[in-house]
Formats: sequence, C-alpha cells, structure tokens
Amino acid sequence: MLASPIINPVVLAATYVAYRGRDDLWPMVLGRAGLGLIVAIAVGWVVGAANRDQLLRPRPEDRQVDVHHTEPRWSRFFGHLSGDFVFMAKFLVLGAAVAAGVQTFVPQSVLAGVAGTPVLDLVAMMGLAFLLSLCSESDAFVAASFVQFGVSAQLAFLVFGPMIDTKLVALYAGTYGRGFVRTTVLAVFAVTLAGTMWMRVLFG
Amino acid sequence: MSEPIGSPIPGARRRWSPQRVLAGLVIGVWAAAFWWLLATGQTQRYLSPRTAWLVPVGSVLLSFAAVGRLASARTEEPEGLRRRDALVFAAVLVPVIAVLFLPEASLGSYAVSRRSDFARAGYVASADTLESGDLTLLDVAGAQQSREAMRALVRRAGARVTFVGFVTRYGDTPSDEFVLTRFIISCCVADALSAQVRVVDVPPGEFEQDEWVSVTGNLYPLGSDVLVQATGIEPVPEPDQPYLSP
Repeated sequence: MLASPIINPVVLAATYVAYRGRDDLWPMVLGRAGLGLIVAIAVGWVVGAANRDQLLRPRPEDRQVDVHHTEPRWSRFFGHLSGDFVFMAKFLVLGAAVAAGVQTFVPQSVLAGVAGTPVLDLVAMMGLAFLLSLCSESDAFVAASFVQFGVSAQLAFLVFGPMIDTKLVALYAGTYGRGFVRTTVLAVFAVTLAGTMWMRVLFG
Repeated sequence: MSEPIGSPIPGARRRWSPQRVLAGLVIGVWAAAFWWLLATGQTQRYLSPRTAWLVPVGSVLLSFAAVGRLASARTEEPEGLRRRDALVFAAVLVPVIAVLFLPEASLGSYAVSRRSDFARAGYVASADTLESGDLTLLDVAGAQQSREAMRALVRRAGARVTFVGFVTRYGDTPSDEFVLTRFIISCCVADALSAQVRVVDVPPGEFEQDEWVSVTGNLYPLGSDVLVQATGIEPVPEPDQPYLSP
C-alpha cells in the first residue's frame, strides 16, 4: 500500500526523466526507491505489531450486503461496485477539495523562507507534498522545480507525498481505525525525516 | 434444505430501493459528465494527452455501473435513505457541478502568482535537442534547469522563434515588456508548472493580462533569464490544448 506508488517502473522512470541532465540524478532515483522501500518496511514492522481486528473500520455497507445474500449474484456485484464508488468518492472529493483550495489560495512562495534551513526545509517539503496531493508519476517534475531546496528536501517531497497526502489520509481514515492511521502517518513522517537527514549528510 | 444463495424468496414483493436508485443516478451523473468532457473536448483543460484515456474508459465503466445499479434497484428489502447518505451523495456530486456549471477557464496569471517564483518548469531539456531545429517554450523551460542545456541554448542566441502563450504582467514589469507564460502539465492541472520568457519591444498598452498571443522574434538567453525581442505580436484564440506536455 505504501511502497507501490513509489517503487514501480513508471514512477522511477518519471523521476529519471525529471532529473535527467542534473548532477543529482542518481541520488534522487535510487534515493527515492531505497528510502521508499525502507519507509514501507518500517511502517509494516510498526503496524504489524498491532491487533489485526483493530486495523479495519467496520463499514455499514458491508453489513447491508450480507443482509441481501438472497439476491442474484449480478445484483450483488453492482451493489459492491456502486458501494465502493460512493465510499471512495466521498473521501477523494474531500481530499481533492483541500488540495485544490491550497493550490488556489496559498502561494507556494510561503516556503521560500525555509529553503536551506536544516530540518525545517525537510518538514516544509513534506507538508507541501501532503497538501498538493500530486500523482506520483508527475510529482518529480514539481519537486525538480524547487531548485532552492536541496536534494534531501526534494527527496522528502518525493517519498512522503505518495504515501501521505490529503486524499490518502481521508481514505485511510475511512478505511482503517484511528490508531492505525495515526501510527502510519507518524511512522512515515519519522522515517522519511530520518532518512532524508542521512541523505543530507551524504549528498548535502 | 436451505435456500441456495442467489435464489429469491418465493412470493416476496420487490420494491424500489431509494438508496440504490440514488446511487445509480449519482453514478449516472458522473458518467454523463465524462461523456460531456469527451464530446466537447474539455478533457484537455484538465488532463494531459498522456492521461486523457481515463475519460473514455471512465465514461464506459461509469455508464455500465449506473445501468447495473438501476437495474438492480428493485429488491425485496429496500434500504431506506438516511440523511447522512443523502449528504454523501450530494458531496460526491460537487465536482461534477463545478465542472459543468462553472465558467470554462484554463489556468492563467492568477495561477502563476500562486506558484512561487522558484517553482518554474521542472523539465530538463537535453543539449542535443537544443542544438538544432525549432525551439519551443518547453525547450526553453527545460534549458533553464541544466547548465549544459543552458549553454546549448546560449549558442542559439538570436534564433528566430514563435511562441504562443498568455500575457502575464507583474507590478515591476515595464510597459514595453510582458512575460509570455504557458503551463506545462504532466498528468493533470494539479501538477501544472509555468514556462516563461520575457518579451521585450512590446507596443505599450496593447495587450491585456491573460490575453493569448503569438510572439515572433529573436531569442536571447541572458544569465538564467531568457528573453524574446519581439518583431511581431498578434492576438490568437486560446489553443484547443492550452497546456504543453513533455
């Protein structure tokens, strides 16, 4: 769930294209894949310790489907199809509305003051990735345009955003229990921060 | 012996379920919006050519889901419609209403102002593509991201170019200049980045903010900036594809 938006050939190829011709090409491509994998493993390890029964939130729609087990199979198929559409759409609409509001009303120049400030720039870029909620196939082009931010801050944007953004948090909150969502967000944040701080030590 | 799953209860009366009917209608409205985007060519205002396939595929799948849900909306145990369900259905329709009823517009100078001045196009052009052939705004934006590409662009100083974009003026833009802007999208408008060149030798007071123009002139890279000394500027209608895509 966490690794797939980052560790796939399309996203890594897009990252390669976005950084092609730059000195930091390979730190970005390999750093994104490596750190994405580390974050996913770390979160899996943390969440894996929790009780499985507490992970998923009960959905009223599922109970209704059980009630209608006497219906023909094709009718239950369309029941699941429309139920999942409406269930996911409400969270996507909510998350997309927040992201659209931020894109429309908040100038990105508010971040300019923290470019180059240790740790703060990493947190700021993770916050921006959360709010912009970009698709992981195209976010590398946006990250590459933040030339005043270093490799590690751009990497924080590219690793944190595909795992935690407004749409995803809305979906996680609708699907999983509160504790699971809190643990996941905090673990992704902490491991991405630690990883990108190491990247700063290695690559500046 | 128990009834097999999928068998109706004998003698039971089937009635319309308000929840299922509404779900079918909501999905149907989404399907109609997708068909409308496809029929009117409005897809290009939201998606890049690379992701535009989502609209025809979505149109077919959503239509299929809507018809299926409406066809299965009669049941022996109709679900009631709670206020919460009605609110959810209304919320899901908000994007469709926005697309269908808000004025048609592509991103303009206001959107440029929301993106910081360091968040310009993140596309990198290769020096090879800049060495010869016609230069595009995408090439110019890409050249600004790499020293090697910028050196290649400098070697093309004085090259004749024709760029189409919209007029952007800032508070400190001289009256005989403007910035020609075009947005570049990779997947959709959410990831739009601006490609810009300064246009000089503009007749003062002739072109308005956000007006689409075609600029012909000679291109001169100056430091990290790129300017076009205009020899001809003419208003043009907004292109069918208002955004550039790499």
